[in-house]
Amino acid sequence: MGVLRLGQGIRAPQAVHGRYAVTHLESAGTCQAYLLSGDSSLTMTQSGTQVTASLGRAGAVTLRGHVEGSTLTLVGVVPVLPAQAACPVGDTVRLVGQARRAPDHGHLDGTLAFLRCADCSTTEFHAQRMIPTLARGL
Amino acid sequence: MPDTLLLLAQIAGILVAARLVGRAVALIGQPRVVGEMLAGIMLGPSLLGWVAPGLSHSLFPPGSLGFLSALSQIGLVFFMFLVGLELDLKLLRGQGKAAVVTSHASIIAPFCLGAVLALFLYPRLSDDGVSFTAFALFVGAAMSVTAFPVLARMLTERGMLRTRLGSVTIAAAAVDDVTAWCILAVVIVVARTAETAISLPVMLGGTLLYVLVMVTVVRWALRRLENVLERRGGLSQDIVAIVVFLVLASAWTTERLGVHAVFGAFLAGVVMPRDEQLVRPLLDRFNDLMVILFLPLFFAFTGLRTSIGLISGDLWLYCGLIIAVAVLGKLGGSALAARTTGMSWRDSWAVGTLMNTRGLMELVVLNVGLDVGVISPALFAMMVLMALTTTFMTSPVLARIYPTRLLRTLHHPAESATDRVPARP
Repeated sequence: MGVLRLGQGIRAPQAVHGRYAVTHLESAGTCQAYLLSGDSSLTMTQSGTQVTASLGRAGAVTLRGHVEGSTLTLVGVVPVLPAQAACPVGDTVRLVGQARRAPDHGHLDGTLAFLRCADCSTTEFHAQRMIPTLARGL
Repeated sequence: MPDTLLLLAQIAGILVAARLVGRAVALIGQPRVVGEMLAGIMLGPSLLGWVAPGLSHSLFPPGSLGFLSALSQIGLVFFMFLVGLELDLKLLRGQGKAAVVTSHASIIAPFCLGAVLALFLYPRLSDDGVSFTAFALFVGAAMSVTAFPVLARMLTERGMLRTRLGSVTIAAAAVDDVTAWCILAVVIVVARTAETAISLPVMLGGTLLYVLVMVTVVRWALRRLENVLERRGGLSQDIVAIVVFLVLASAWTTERLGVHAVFGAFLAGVVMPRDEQLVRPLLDRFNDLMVILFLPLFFAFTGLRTSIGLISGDLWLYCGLIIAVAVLGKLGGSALAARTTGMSWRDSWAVGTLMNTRGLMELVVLNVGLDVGVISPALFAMMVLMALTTTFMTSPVLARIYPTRLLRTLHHPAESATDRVPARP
């Protein structure tokens, strides 16, 4: 009981894990447009401050990083995209976001930047966490 | 719709890997189940996904895992039914103080150490979506698990089952099984009330009422089966169908109540009549399918969820700490408790070593924790490594404590309830 009482005073990192529906806030460059169009989603798993995410159609980009307070910083490498996207393979993609809590959903507002893509500017985006399924056992 | 060809290829690949690695570890004196657990990890992102990502993605594309998951969950439900069916608290009779003290100490010591460890792990490996209470209770419960079937098999293989040492250990492990599942049920209730639409009183009240109905009404009704068995002279397909229905209905009910399906399945096994005409044939019918097909699927599904790549840098130190605390709590706690009851140091260490075997029961607990969201993927991977390490170390450590030449000196009491050995690994 003492341990449980002691533990109540310990703060764990903010929970950001889950599946988010991603929407644009401004027009995107070619790479972002490919990644963040259609039914694209951001899926994050979290272990403490360590976060791993997959972004885009069928998890097109894997991002890794951390959450500090409510600020999320993730970095990944651009995979092979379709020709029309014109992004250099091996480019670095960087996602910085602010997580906000809400009673029913979690929200994430941030920017997505492709560091070497000439056609892409830094894009703002908004993501909303999908409601978790009630039964996670079976 | 499932891709049938892909699903068949997945199952075939899993079975081959499980049998091959199971055979390989048997050559170095390990139980096959250790190899099957290892095969599951090897098929996941920790090995196959790392060395051959293309092959891994072709064989286990993320979109296909739902069907594998469903199969492994059904297997898990029936596995837990068999665990409940084989649970025999009569094993405690005649074992006296040693078994009672050892069983309590082997739960309390690792549970308390696990809860203290949670103070360190919670801010580092969890998030504020999980309450500290649920996290600490889960870590404590995960530290307290003993793999009753694995250790029974080890005792049999070493010819120790009918010794006093074997009797005390098997009795203590049986009590551990029940206690650990009760603690885990509480953890799930605590963890899930924040997440589900079911309120805590409804979940708790409903679960208690359900347990009461199972141990009174359903148990009474099942006793009628014994008369049917006698009339028909054995187990008919109709009776097997009734049992299967009961397992599925019970699993569905506890899942619906917000507690995991495995508890309903376990409870269905516990309330079954202990008639040898029923228990043994049921075990025989389920056993092969379970060992050859469903357990490897469960191990593979666990392996696909285990990403050792998530453990890096300092996290390896945390992993080492988790293993050290697990061994200290379970092995040390059980050994000291056995010693206080008058057993020799050698016997006490042997009891501790055996009780430290976590095996696939730990994997069941960890998967439940990950399903409920009470542990993170990195902590899951660390605890899977802890389960593998503690299971893997049992045989060699036991061989050091009790070399073959000393086994003959062990006291062999009269035949007892321990004659009935779990048929599973």
